[in-house]
Amino acid sequence: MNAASLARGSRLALALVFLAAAPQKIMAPAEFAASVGSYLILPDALINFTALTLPWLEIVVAILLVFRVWTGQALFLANAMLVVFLGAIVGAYLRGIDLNCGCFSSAPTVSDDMVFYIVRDVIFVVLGLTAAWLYRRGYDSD
Amino acid sequence: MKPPISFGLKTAIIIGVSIGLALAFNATRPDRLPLVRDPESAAQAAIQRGEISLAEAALLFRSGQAVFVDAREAGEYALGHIDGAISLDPLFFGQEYPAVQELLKEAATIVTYCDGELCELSHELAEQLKGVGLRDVRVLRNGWTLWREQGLPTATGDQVKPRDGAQEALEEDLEQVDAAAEKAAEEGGATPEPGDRPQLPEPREIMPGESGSNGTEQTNQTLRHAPQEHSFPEAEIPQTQPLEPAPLKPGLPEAAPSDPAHAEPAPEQPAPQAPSEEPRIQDVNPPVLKTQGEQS
Repeated sequence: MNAASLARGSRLALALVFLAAAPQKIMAPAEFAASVGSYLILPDALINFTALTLPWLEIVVAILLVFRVWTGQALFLANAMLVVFLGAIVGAYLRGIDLNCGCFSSAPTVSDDMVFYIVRDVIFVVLGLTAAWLYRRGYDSD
Repeated sequence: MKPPISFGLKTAIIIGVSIGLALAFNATRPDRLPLVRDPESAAQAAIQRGEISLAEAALLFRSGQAVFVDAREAGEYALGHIDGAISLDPLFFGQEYPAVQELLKEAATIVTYCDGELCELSHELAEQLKGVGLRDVRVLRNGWTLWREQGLPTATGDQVKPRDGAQEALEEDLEQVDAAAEKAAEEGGATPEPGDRPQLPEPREIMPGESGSNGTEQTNQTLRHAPQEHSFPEAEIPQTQPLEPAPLKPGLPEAAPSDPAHAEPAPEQPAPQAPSEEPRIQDVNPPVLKTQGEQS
């Protein structure tokens, strides 16, 4: 029972994370595209496409998670996105990219923001993996 | 429990639906984002965001009608900035703005810049400046890098720093620059004290109309001064300098064409003096510098 509620809770929390994050990206695609570009990972040709579609994928996944439709696939995609996000930000961190300015900061000190984002994303990944693990274990079924 | 559709297919469907929704929604937006950023639309978007090209910025610099504002950290500003630029960190806008307020309000045009193609600090600063009522605020994207690469006039030091030998400063040791500045100051009455910081802004405001004639004059000056500048490194200071702040704007040989402009915004300042006289123009600068120093 505990596991069941934990499974449900983690799944809904995961959905909430995506639901909270997506709308502002959808409403300000240009800003989000600039943000995506600041990671200096994607080629220019893919930046806009990614910025446009990623938030919608988050929304769709969140809705699927809430209504438990295709939950396995939704959890898979959710975790995939979170891992990619974490990898991107860690990669930026290691490469010394200051995401606040999209430039390679010459200052050796890394802004606290980066650490915050990384810690936050790690928490999200843990949340996502927990939800997926519990789901696979069958705890998230009625 | 065997799903009629495979896991992978469902995943693909989810992705496909998301992409479909995204594209459909984007298509309905008045300010839709192009799927692939093409140069033209990117350029248009840039213009919409108030960005100007390096050429335009250099023109403004030359005309002396614009004040350049460095949006990077004060530390990076000290390491090198556009000659005459003011340091104003958007993160500390509230604290720093009052000190440079007068300068900016008098400017016909304000050009903000930071460093890096994706640097948003200059845009943030531009928004903040617009927020306090300044109208003509432009952004020179990737400004510092472009400016430097083009060999346009630069300077080093803190906000309160002397303005001379800006260009040389880039290529040479800071020490050399300082030394030259001090010498210039000593020899040329026009040159402000080392502590003073040269600012283009004020001069520009003065005479938009003059810019034309000044520009020509400036060019001449540049040419003349050029030799002087070269000497700077050697510690030789042109005796003529006293009259002409030339030292302040030593243009690099290569940059000569553009140098005149940046070299000195001074031209504009000449307002008080006879516009046609180049030397005076430079003289005008000193006051400006002082003002700046006071402000900072």
